[in-house]
Amino acid sequence: MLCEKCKQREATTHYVETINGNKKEMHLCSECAREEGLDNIGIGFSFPSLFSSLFGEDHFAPLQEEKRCPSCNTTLSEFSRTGKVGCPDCYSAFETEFRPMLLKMQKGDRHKGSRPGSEPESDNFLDSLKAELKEAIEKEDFERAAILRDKIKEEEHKNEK
Amino acid sequence: MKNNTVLISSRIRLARNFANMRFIPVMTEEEKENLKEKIHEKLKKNNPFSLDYINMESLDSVHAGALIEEHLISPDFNGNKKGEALLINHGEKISVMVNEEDHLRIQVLGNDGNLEELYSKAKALDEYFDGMMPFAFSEKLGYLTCCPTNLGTGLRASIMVHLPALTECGQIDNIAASFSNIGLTVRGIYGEGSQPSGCVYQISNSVSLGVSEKEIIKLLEKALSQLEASEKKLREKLVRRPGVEDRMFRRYGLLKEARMISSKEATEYLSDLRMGACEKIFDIPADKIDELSVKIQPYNIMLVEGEKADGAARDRKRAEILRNALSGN
Repeated sequence: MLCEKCKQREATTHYVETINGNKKEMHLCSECAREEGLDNIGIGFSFPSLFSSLFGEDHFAPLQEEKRCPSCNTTLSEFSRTGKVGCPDCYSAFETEFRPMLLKMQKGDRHKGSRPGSEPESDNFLDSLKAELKEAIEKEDFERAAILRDKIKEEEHKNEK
Repeated sequence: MKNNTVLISSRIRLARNFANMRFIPVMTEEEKENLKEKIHEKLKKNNPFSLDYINMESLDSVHAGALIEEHLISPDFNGNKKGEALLINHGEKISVMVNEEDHLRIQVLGNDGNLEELYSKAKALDEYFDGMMPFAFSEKLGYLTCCPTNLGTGLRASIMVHLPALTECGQIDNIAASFSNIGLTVRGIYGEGSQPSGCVYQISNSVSLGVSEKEIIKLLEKALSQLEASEKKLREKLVRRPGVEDRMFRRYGLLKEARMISSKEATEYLSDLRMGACEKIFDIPADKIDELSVKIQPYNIMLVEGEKADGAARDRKRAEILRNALSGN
């Protein structure tokens, strides 16, 4: 098969991209692939695994460099292979990518249980929302803070009933 | 009150990691050794649960194997990997694995269905270790673990159940399917990846995030009472089938008289014996049979007979243990 771009050399790089249900295919030789920035994908996203299939289609976007956790250097493809992360910061580094997976394999992505140092019986959900609100304000993530503030109002209203 | 017609034992396990540290998958041997030592030092200063510290690498394979057979440590935690330690109070059935899949796996075993009480015990241990060094915890994701399947509560509550009638009537797959819809997994006797044996299954929660500890425990308790009801109903009918009744008594005879018996055979026969005992056909307490089921396992036999005991020697010893236990019945 000849390269789609230069129509001269043999196509050795076959690139298929599916984003939000839209599929795009390209068959290129190694030079044209490099020009298009598609020669560095490596084996990042081409394995079958429970975790990669749970990521959701909108995350199979072409990347020139694999995203790494800034603290421990773990990549998403390493995670897909082992099912394990390298450090607590991986969860913030890959927050977006992990979200669909957590929604599928767990009951949502919000902790509802006990917290260190607290009584198991206390109203943990409300406490944790309030603590997260404090965290969001400190980080100046006001959009998230607004969402949390509304959730807190909702929970408190529910509790009053 | 203990109802052990179906329940053999219950278990609460909490997965925890310490804050400001990397997780096991990327830790170097040195990092793991340092963590072990740190925990050891703190344990020496304050040890309210009377835990013994065991360096897994120096533990001989027979003792490690015996601990696995008792369900006190997981099958992979046999001392073959470096940097692992075990904190254990054998009498209290408390075992804390250090540097297994996470920094800590806190585990308590119980012999009745009172999971709430068992959880309180585990929580007390949890608080003790949190006092040593703070845990990695986020408001959103809860306790942080290296595997996302353990996030949130980090809790895996399990019951080990004996379901001979449901197995014989081919109902286990149906149960596993309907349980999976409500967040429960059905596994073999040694947990993940193991095969069922002797009609014994491990039922655990599959979800740890987005649910509270109380909800998880209630779910397991509900599963247990459902299983007790279905199993009991089927057993009553099953033991009255002439073929089954005959089989049970033949096996009972073999257990009492055999001079050699493999663990596979013994496990199968003890399953019938346990069912018969619960149905008041044989006058033996079910928990005595549960103890026997552990005593006849290969490493437990080697504890008594020695590491060099070969298959034949173990089969002879096994038969002897069974004869002695069942004589006078």
